Parts: sequence; C-alpha cells; structure tokens
Amino acid sequence: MNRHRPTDRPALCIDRRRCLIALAGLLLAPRSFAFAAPAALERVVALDWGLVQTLLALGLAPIATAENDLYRESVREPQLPSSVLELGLRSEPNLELLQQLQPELIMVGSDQGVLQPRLNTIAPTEIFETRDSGTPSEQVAQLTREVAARIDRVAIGERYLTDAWQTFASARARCAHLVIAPLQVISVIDERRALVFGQGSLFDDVLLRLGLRNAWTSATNGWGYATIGFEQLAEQPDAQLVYFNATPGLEARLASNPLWRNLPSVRSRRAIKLPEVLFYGGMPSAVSFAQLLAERLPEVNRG
Amino acid sequence: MAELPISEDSMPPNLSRRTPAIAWVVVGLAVIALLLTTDAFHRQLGTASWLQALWSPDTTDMRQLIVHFSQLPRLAVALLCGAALGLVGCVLQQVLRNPLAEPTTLGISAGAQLALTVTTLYAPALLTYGPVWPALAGALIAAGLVFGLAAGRGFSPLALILAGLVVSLCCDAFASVMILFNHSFLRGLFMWSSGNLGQNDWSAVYLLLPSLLVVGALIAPLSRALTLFELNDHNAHSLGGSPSTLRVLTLLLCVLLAAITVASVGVIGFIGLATPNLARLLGARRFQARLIWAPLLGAALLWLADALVVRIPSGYHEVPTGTATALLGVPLLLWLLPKLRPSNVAQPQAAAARRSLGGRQANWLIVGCLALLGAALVGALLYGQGPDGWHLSVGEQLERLLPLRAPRVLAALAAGAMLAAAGCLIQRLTHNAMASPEIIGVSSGAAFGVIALAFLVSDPTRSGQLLAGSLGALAVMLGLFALERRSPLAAERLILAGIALSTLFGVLVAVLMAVGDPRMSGLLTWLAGSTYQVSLGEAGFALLVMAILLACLPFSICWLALLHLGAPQAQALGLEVKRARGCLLLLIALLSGAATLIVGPLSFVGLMAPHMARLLGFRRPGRQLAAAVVIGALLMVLADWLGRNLIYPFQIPAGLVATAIGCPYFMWLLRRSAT
Repeated sequence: MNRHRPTDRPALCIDRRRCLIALAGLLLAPRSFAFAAPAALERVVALDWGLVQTLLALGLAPIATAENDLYRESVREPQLPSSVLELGLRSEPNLELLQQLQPELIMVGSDQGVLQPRLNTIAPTEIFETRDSGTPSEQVAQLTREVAARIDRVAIGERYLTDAWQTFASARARCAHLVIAPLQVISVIDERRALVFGQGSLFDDVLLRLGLRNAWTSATNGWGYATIGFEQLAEQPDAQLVYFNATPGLEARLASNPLWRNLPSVRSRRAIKLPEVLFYGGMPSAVSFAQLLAERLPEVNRG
Repeated sequence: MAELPISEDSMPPNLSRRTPAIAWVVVGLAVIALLLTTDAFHRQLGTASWLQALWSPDTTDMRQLIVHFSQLPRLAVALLCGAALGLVGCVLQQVLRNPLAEPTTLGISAGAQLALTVTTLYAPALLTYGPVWPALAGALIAAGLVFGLAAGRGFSPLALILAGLVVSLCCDAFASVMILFNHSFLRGLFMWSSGNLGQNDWSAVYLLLPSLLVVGALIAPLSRALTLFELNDHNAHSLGGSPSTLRVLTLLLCVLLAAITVASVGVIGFIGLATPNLARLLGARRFQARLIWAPLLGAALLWLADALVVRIPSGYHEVPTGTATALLGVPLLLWLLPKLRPSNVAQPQAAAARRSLGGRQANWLIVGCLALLGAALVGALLYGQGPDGWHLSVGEQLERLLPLRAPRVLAALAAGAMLAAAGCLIQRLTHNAMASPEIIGVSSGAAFGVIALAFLVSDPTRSGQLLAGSLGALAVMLGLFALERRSPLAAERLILAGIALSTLFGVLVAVLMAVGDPRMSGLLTWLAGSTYQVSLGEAGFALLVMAILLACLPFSICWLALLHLGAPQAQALGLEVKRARGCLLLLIALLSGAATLIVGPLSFVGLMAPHMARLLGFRRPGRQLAAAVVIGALLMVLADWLGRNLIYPFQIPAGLVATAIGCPYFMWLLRRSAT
C-alpha cells in the first residue's frame, strides 16, 4: 500500500483516483472497504457522530457532517472545526447539497444503512459497523482501524489507539489506590428518571478497564443502558453515583427531590457530575470518559 | 378501597334492583389491584415499620423512603388521575354529544406538551418549580384558544370539537418540529407523553386531590341539568335550559381538572375516552349513573394498570402506565364494540358552510385550484435554496437536481390527493366531522409494520420497510372486514375501533421515543410525513395507484348520497347497503394505506382538506370530493417545497409543514364562517 502526501499529487492523478474510488464504491459490496482503492481521501462526508469523532481523532476533518451545532453542544470532543459544512439532520442529510459538494466518500453508521442506496447515486457510500454485540471498547478500536485504513492513515490510527490504551492504563493507576464503591453511571432525564449504563455499554466497558465496578448489573438494551426511576437507584444504597446532566435548570429541581437528596452518595457529597460524553460515540468518547473519571474520582474518594 | 361498593341510594333507580355488571367489574379490578399493591409494599418493607414508612419515614432507611416518597404517592396519583379522567371524559362526552370526546379533545394535552417543549428548550428557568406550571399554562392557553374559536358559533359541540382538533394538531406540529431537531434533549418530555406515573414526592397528590374534590363537588349539582344535552340545543332551549351557558360552565370545570391531571402526570390515554363508554356498555345507561361509575371505573382501571406495570419484568425499560392502560383497554373496547348500541347521543354533523357555490362558480373555482396546483408543481421543481441562496434551476443543473426533487414533489402530490379523498369519504360515511383517514386504523397498521421491522431486523432496507408497512396495513384491513362481516359496523363502532388502534400506536411511538432507542431517530421523520426516502419508481407507482383509486371515486358518490339517507331508505332505493359499505371501506383503506406507505401516518391533510373544501362553499358530495382532492394535493406539494427550503440545509417533513400552515388557515376559516 503506497501512501501519498496530498501535496505532491498532480491534478490528473486525482481524477483517475476519483474514478477508481467511484468504481470501487459502485462495484464492490457495501462493507468491502478492505479492498477499496488505496488512496488518501480528502473530501469525506461522515453522517454518524461516532464516525465524525473517529475521523477528527485521526486528523481528517470531514468537509460536511450533520447536526453540527448539536455535535458541538452534546458531543464536544474532538472539537469540530468551524469550516465543516452543515448537511441537516442525521436521518435526512440534504441530498441536493451533497450532490453539489461532490464528496469522494460518504461514511454512514450501521443505523443509517437505509440511506445508502440513495446516497450511493450521489457519491460512493460505505456503511461502517458502529454497533455490534462485541466488547464495546474493542469495537470502537476496530472502528478506528477500519476508518484509518479507509482514509489511508493506518499509522496515525495505530498511534491513536496506543495512546488510548495508555490513557486507560494511567487512569487505572490513578484509581488503583482509592477505596471506591461500585459506581452507578447515569444520565439524568428529568426530575424523576435517568438512563443507567450497564452491561454492553461503552461506559461499563471503560469502568472494567479502569478496574472499577459497575453497580448496575440488571438487564440493558442494545446500547447497554436502561431507563429507570430514581427509586431504583435508591435500591442500591452502597453505590456511588456518577451522573451526566446537561439539561439546564434541572440541577436545582433535583435538589428539591426527597429521594434524590437522600441517595447516600448525594447526601455525603460523593456524587460526581460529569460534563456530557456521547454514550454511543467512538473511541474519543471512551477516552474522554476515562480521563474525566481519573480526574474526579480521586477528588472525592480518599485512599 | 373504602368507597366501594357504592351505597344503594346513590344508584339510579333502574339499576338498584340487581347489581349492574359494572359494579362487579369495578370491585373485581379493585380487589386484584389491592392484592398486588399490598404485595408490593410487603416486599419492600417486610412485616415491620409499615406505619412509620407511611407517615414519617426514617430518612436513613432507603426502603422506607422508597415506600413513602415513591410507592405511596404513586398509588394515590393513580387513583386520583383515573377518577379525574373518567369524570372529565364522562362529562365531555355528554356535553359535546360525542362518544369520542375525551380530555385531550379540547387541545389540553397538546397545549401542555408544546408548552413543556418550549420551556425545556428555550426557557428552562420557568421549570424551576416543576413542569406542572408551564404545562398547566400551556393547557389552559390552548383550551382558551379553542373556546375563542368556538365562541362565534355559540359553543356548539361541533365547533368546539373541530376547534379542539385544529388547536391540538397545530400544537403537535410545532412541538414535533422542535422535537425533530432536539430529540436528544427531550427524553423527559417523551416520558411525560407516554404517561409515566412514577412519583418522588407528594406534590402531585396535593394538587390533584383538592382539584378533583372541588370540580366533583361543583359538577354533582349540575348532573340533572346536564341530562338536557341528550336533546339537541334547540329542544333543550325550549325546555327552559340555556345550553350554551351550561356548556361553557361545565367545560371550564372539565378543562381545569383535565389540565391539572395532564400537567401532573402526562398523557394517560384511553381512560377518559373508554371509561364512560365502558360504563355504558356495562349497564350504566343513564348519564347520572355514568357520572358515578366512570370515575370509579377509571380509578380502579388505572390503579390495576399501574400495579401491574411495576411488576412487569420489563428488562431495560419500565413500561409507562399510559401504555398499559392502552394495552388493557383497547382489546376490552374492541371486544365490547359489537355490544355497543347506537346511542341517542348525536353525532356532530358537518357544519354547513354559510355560502354555497352555484354549479358554474364551483367549477371555475376548481379550475382555479387546479391551475394553482400546476403552478406549484413547476415552482417546486425549479425553484429552491442552494448553497448560494435562492436559485432558479434550469438546463443542465435542473437535469442533475430533477432526480432528487421530482420523486418528492410527485409523492407529495399523490399522498395529498389520496389522503384528502380518503378523508372526504370517511367523513361522509361516518357522518362524523372528526373522522380522518387514520381513524380506520390502516395507517397505524402500516406504521406498526415499519416500526416492528426496525426492531426485528438490525439494518432494514427501504423495500423491507415498504413490505412490512403493507403487511401491517393489510392485517388491519382484514381485521376491519372481519369485524364488519360479523356485525355491520355502525359508524360509531368503526370510529371507536379505529381510535383504539391509533391510541395504541401513539402510545407505542411515545414509549420507543422515551426509551431513546437511536433507531427511532431515523423513523421520526417518516412518522412526521417526510418525502425524503421516496424514490422515483415509488413516486411513479404512487401516482399510478392514485389515478386508479381516484377513478373509482365517481362510483362512490352516488352510494354516499344514498347511505346518507340511512340504511333502510338506501336499501329501499335498491342499494345493497352491506356491499356498498364494504366497497367504500375498502376504497378508504387502500387510499390511506397507499398514502401512509409514501409519506407516513400523519394524515392532517385527510382531515382538513374536506373541511376546507366545504368551508370554501363546495357542499355536494361530488364537488366536495373533487375540490378536496385538489386542495389536498396543493397543500402537500406546497408543504413539501416549504419543508425543503425554509431552514435549508435542514428539512422539515411535509406532513408537519402542512399541519403548521394548514391549521392557522383553517382556524381563520372557522372564525370567518361563524360571523
């Protein structure tokens, strides 16, 4: 596989490559990116936030993505450059605009498979497996490798993954000497309810890698979470609470809820509030979550 | 429960001799619920400290806290809400003379939901004292708007129902647009709309209990006067009653109670609609009897539903109680439907427009509408926003854009025309102005199919979706015909069956949204009437189906005119009533099924286009049908174009735009025709 720097490519060559890529996209089955043309792509569009995160982590900004403002608000990391164009909703990216942009590749997640036939008439469109039943952290690593291979940044991808595993290891070391109860990782929905992350979620897997225990061991859905009322949190009095709460103004209302106020870790001020992390994101989400935990856990738990 | 069984003297005389079926049902439900609740408390507390947990829990004992701040208020809220919804439904159905009226009829739920959506997204500070207050304000504003619109027509039942429907649709459309672009922030809202009774303190009880008592105490002395509404307004007036004053008074009380209920616990579907009907079916024939039994049945039903819900080993998501009531109630209602006798409660007839057009005028107006439709089609294909602003595309550029634009424009056209035709037919067939294509449940069936597929198959394809949707629609259609074969469906039964299915479907969608399954975001736009996914082939096929079905319409007009006279008269005039009704139903089912497959189950156009045609002065069945078809098509084409361009590059689904622009226009028409 020869890699080219974008700068030393003659213009003619790009056209040929584009043709090749387009042909490959048209001829080969959707998930056959392993065989795709070995060219460094530049004009890439990603329609799934996990894919956007992965691309940005590999140092390639997509020319356009969907729901940019919402990404900046609720995904945050890695930061989306202001030059990236807006395509509209993730479920309905603007086809006319895509046609005018003429990307070399459109990347969609497994949940957007239904878009592929339509998008393929505009530009080569490939589905990436953003969700399967495997270990979540292995899966986001695999996604990183696949994306890196597809945009011809294999070495950058491997370096990024090495850094990620390193982050987990050092976070684990920071937590190792602490006495930490099993953690309840939740995202507060309103003044009575929350999503709780358990088996099968990216967050659960990060806890495991950090040597921490997840308090929530009951059933979860395909994304590894369950929707519960606070009374179910109260049924695990020994757990320590780690929560996301991005809804403005909700914090004050939580404080006036007698059940929430009397949760042991809230009462003893050991509950930890984290800034928003995308729970169905890519490796960058896992890294952010590990870093945040390693930062905050030692502040409230003494060795 | 202490208030059961009801003492003999409070029973209406014709029922006191033998205990009516309803008493057994209420007691039965309550006993099962009591056993379940006792067991749940026992599991949490064991044998110790019940009294302490109930009155002053030890704040360090989590089990006592759970019972005191969660289980106990939840039980109280279930009882209070069930009773309130039953009471409101019972009174509304009487006062509005429509067995389909329910607490949401007057725009209350939709107004509350819109208010909650807006405050959550744009003014979270208003939520400081809980979501109850903004929701209550929204509900009351919406109800106020409904009253304002209906005032010009002396608060007639039809005017109120129509105004309520329009205000609901309008609020829903605006809320849906906001939800579409912010759904990840609005999980709490979906929880609220799927009717979750979970409580963490006593605040809801403190609000609901006095409201229920006060409204109940005020309505009780009016109960005799309210029986007057079994007559029409004119006769009631000649007996010395003042129907519109009485109506406004009782409606205000109902609105207040319903708004407080909805604001505190969210949308609990079905109880308000079903309990008065069930009470009637189970033997409470007189209004005063229903006024007692409907709230009791509502309380018992919601109590049992909630006690069952908390025990369902649901895995990763607690089933909201609103879902459970729908799941329990819908089969019950479907089973009881054949036993429903035609009530003496009048159906709202389509309101006469003030002016009726002469034949020539009407023809010219239709031609004018057709010309507008043509212009809209061309405009929608050529003109639109691009990366550099507004742009008229011609030549080579148009050639590239056409494959992307044409399917959407044509699909909008076909869907609009078919929905309008289906709506017109069903409104005429059932003599009910509230009827819309989804009322026969076929769109819900199609939507069921598509959603089921999304959850059964990991990566559904478009053709798979179309197939699943068709199968769903077909299943409902077959069920409908089976019902019709067994006993010809009176209009009322048909509508109740359809509403039951739609309720179930609405609840299902709310639950899936609440679960926050990422798969739902892809279906959300389709559910809102988007033409995005339509391919050129599908659009062509839709046009073909439309042409074939519209060609059948002329045959239906004569049947409709005959059926309008009533079945015996139609029979006497040589019409095979059963076959004619069957054919009409089939036509409606095909029209709405086909339209749903292309643009999703949001059939506002089907409801509104016939009314718009009528209010413009098209009154005879043939002309109304023709005008409605053209108006429906025009509305959808315009809506699709606006949706693609208003907030470019974002796109708003055509169904939502049609609702959002159609409703204010419709409100204006309603006002104008009244003065």
